Amino acid sequence: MNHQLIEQELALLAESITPTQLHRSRILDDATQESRGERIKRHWSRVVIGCSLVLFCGPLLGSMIEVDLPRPRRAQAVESAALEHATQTQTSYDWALVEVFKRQSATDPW
Amino acid sequence: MDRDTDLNEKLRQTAREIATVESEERTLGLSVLYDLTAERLVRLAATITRHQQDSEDAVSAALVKLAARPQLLISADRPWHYVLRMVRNESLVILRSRGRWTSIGRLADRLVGRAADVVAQRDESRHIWDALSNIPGRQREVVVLKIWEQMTFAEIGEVLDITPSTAASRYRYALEKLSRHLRPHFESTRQENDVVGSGVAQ
Repeated sequence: MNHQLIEQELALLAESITPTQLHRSRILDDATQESRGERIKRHWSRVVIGCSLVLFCGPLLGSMIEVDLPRPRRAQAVESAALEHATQTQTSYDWALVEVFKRQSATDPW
Repeated sequence: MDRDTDLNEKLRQTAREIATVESEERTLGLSVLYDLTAERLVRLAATITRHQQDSEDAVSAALVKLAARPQLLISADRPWHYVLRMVRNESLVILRSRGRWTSIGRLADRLVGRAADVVAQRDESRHIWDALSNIPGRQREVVVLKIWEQMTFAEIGEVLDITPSTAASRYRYALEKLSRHLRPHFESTRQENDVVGSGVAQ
């Protein structure tokens, strides 16, 4: 049988095989859903990365920026310093206290 | 190859355009890609899956992937061959996964009124489609690429990952089998023509 005839018939067959009318819109819908899904996935991966950074790096950063705040001076220490100052300078205890506080604020601005 | 030079350039250009926009706006580029390729791709997929819906699914899967990753096309040496390979792979995946669900799927298709036949029952080319469907898939795809895509055996070998001589021998065997399948049809057609011819002569 003539192969050329078969080739001609096969070539004609191509015209009978076409996508259905809905295929185009279906494929575009699929692509839209795919990109939407991708966007949601990207959003959640960012959230997860952000949360992990906060969880793992937070304590480390906290320890690095920890400030050693001045602690209040003990009343007893201030009183003994005032008494010492009063005996050394022969002034009253009240003025000695003022002097101790002045000296303290000059060296340590609280 | 010359036949597809223009198509290759258009595909690469469309892929570049898709790559420049955000993923949400890529549907426009995809519609251009669809118009350029879908008809030919559905034909190829249909000859592999032998089912309209499956062939369209294979083409959808491949084109949606390409729209999401246009770099694949931009960097491809011959974008059209690359798309053909993708659709072929998607078709084979569908074909493998279909196996056990075939009968349920066919029943569902009938229930929802979805077209399962690639070529309509009343189509004039139905006999050739039936013959083509009955030859082995490996030979079928060579025939399709040779006749519908007008590829050389070297190009077919490149797309199907076989040697050109294998492609040529598959083509030859395919035509032999098609010839055997189609002989009764052609003989009956000739007899009908003879009857009509003798009627006219009388």
